[in-house]
Amino acid sequence: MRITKLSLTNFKSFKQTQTVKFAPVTLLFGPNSVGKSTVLMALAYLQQILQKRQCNPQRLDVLGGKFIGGFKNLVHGRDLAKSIKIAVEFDKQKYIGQSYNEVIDLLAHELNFHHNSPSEFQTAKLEFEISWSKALNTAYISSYKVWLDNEFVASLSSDSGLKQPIIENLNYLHPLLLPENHNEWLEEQFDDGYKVHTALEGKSLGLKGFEKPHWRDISQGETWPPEDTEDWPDFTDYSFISHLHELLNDNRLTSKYMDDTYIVESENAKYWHIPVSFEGYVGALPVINSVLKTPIDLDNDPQTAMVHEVLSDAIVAPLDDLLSLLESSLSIGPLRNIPDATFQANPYPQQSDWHNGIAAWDVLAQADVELLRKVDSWISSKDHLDLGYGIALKVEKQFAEFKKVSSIDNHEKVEKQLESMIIEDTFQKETKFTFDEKNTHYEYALWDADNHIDVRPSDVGVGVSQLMPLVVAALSRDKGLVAVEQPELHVHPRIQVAIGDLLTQLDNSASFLIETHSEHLILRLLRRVRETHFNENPLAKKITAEDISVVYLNPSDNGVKVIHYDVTEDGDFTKDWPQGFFEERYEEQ
Amino acid sequence: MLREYAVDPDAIYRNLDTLHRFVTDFNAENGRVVSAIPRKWLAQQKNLIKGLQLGPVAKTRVLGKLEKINDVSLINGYTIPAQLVNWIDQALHVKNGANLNAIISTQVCAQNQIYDYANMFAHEPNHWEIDKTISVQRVAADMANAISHSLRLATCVYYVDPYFTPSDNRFVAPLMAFIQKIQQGKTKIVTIHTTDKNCDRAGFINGLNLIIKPLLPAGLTLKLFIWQRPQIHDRYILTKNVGYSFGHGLDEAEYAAALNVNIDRLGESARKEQFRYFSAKDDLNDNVISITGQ
Repeated sequence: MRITKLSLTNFKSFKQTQTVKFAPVTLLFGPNSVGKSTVLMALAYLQQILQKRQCNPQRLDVLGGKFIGGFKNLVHGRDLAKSIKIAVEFDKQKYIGQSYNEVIDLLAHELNFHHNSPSEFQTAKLEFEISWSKALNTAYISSYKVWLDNEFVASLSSDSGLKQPIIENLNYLHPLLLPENHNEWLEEQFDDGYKVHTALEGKSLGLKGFEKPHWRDISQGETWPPEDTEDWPDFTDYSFISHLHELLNDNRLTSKYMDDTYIVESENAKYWHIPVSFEGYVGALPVINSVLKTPIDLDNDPQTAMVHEVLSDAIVAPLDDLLSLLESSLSIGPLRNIPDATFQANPYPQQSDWHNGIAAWDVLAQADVELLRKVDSWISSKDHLDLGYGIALKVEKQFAEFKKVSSIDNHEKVEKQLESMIIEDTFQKETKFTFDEKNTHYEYALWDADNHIDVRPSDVGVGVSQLMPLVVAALSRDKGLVAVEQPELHVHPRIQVAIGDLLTQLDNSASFLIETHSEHLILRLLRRVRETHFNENPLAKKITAEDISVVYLNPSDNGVKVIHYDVTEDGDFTKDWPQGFFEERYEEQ
Repeated sequence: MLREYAVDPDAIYRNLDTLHRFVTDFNAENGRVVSAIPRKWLAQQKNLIKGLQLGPVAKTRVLGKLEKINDVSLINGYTIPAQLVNWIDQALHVKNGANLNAIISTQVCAQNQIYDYANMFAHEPNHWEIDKTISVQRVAADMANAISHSLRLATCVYYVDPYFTPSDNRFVAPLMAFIQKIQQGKTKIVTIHTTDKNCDRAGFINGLNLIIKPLLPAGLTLKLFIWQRPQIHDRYILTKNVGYSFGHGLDEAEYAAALNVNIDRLGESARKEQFRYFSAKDDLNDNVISITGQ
């Protein structure tokens, strides 16, 4: 599962809606203070909303408790009359995702409710509008909209008093909201002479084997509909689109409302939809990881449950998936802590512990051999980062000899005696020890390859300590987004270019969002794209232009302007870079 | 208005005079570009510079000039078989495949259009001196022919015309003539920058889809951005190497025989300025209209 786009409106320095396209590796460039960190902050804010229902947080947990000062400091221009909009698009890839289909799986055939699960979508776009409630003096979700597989599905909204959130629109024509037996249902409507919804005219006629002539032919006299056809139905906007549409609206559509009051327009169709209230939090946010609760009560309980499962799959499941994606992500901040001499690994590092980089040392301390081998290879190999350090297995054997105090003449004598026993045992390889073996201690340790000594995390150079969190995060995460601010901090240009290979040579499905000023990094990636094109790429994974997204954030009068720098197949940009390239670009050619 | 040459390092690094001539002669703004032979062209030049034993200031200046050539006046992307070790063999291989104008070397071979850089008075490639401005009839074919080599070498093309109208053949005919030249090279995307002077957004969408899309070569993408009227005035065709200003317009004149158009090759600073200005448009955030030939 991977985030593919993020759109921000009225969020910090973003005023007009701007969209950032994500790739497996996304590089954010731009001048200082333009809003590069804002992109990361938006995702952290969204996670806090979904996870903790906090639209007005003072601090963002994922960013290590970074103080943000609530909604007022997040909305553009500190204008409380404006609403923030955050839209996230993601691709599930091979991830199955959340589904609420339980009763449907059991009773669908029995109750003739053959419905696809809307949770079987591949891509989703979720848009959240966060506004300020004067009445409650806090921020809330004023609108939540869902698109699945690039087609609108539903919009939910809330009043500023947070009294009654509603599903204000549902696109009953969305393929994932149409039942499996929709064609049969439609043919029955047709055969029985019921009015068929205008949006289904072409489909229903096709099912009956009719081909509607072009309007020019009709205007020139061709007969339509055919005269010899009995029970030809009328087409109207005042009809139901599907069995689900009927179930959700029919018993609430009293004669009082049989006018245009509840006709909504969606895409190219108009249809009835009577708003449905639901149990929400902080406004229009449904309860996460839970079946949607509404007052809809149909003739029988299983049918009621199945309708709610469909609604939950369409509205709640994408939220669950997004939260899962955000929770499996991590953010490494611009200043990573250097573990001091008293550092003790935390066996339970939290997501927020990554922000200052300490979680990396925690993970490293309890890593399995497979991960340690990968880390060792990347930090020590000449073909990789070549940091001058590696990971080594340190084996300590401790010997002890116990003697009664009364038998001790002096310490020196005991020590010599113990030493002679060890030497004798070592050289003669006797199997029987004349002293006690207390224990053997195995420990993986950082190894200084130049000086052939083990070192503590506090002993390594600052540059290495700044880079280790990225190395460990990249090699240990197998999903989610790994966001890193300034990975090049205190790092030599030679290593900066090698970071480009680290980001693209992993065999997991994590993606990277890198906020950087390093042109060395992008130049390595361009070089690899070029080498792939000319069949000269020596690395295992051959990256192409589609694997990287280069984004430049430019300040303007209308807030931040996002410019994507498309990369050609032979590793060049199709646009001129706003800033000059460093000389290192030529080393990369 | 642009010629491409393979230039032999032996000819350049003969002495400081030839090196000085090289960095002056070969710039896209002067109408001459250099083929990247070998592919790591700049790295090779840097190695050769080391052998000249220049002082630090002179070395920095020479490197700066070579990097400038590398930036905008080097034509990359040639694949050279590994078995061709000699530079001249590599150059002949590229020349046969890419239709270079000449090979500048240390010897003369008229048959293969090889010229001695040390003695260009005796033998000089055709059209060695290239005018900065030329005047052609304002008809599609002539305008396109005038800059055909630049379009073939381009990696991307900006087509700037504030009056562009997709439903008017005066504008469509030159565009398609330029595209015909562009498709002989490796560019797969042409970007039009225009205004809504003659056409609104719906008109552009309809015109591009109904009129231009059927004419586009398969696989070539045409993008169009609509700017505010005061933001564009002049007419240009810009690539990453070279830029041209079309004084009287990028459209065909109604009385083409009577009115010529002056095509002016921009100086590098002007090209860079204009290219950077139009680079600011973004597909996702500036409502690009995009069509691709089927």
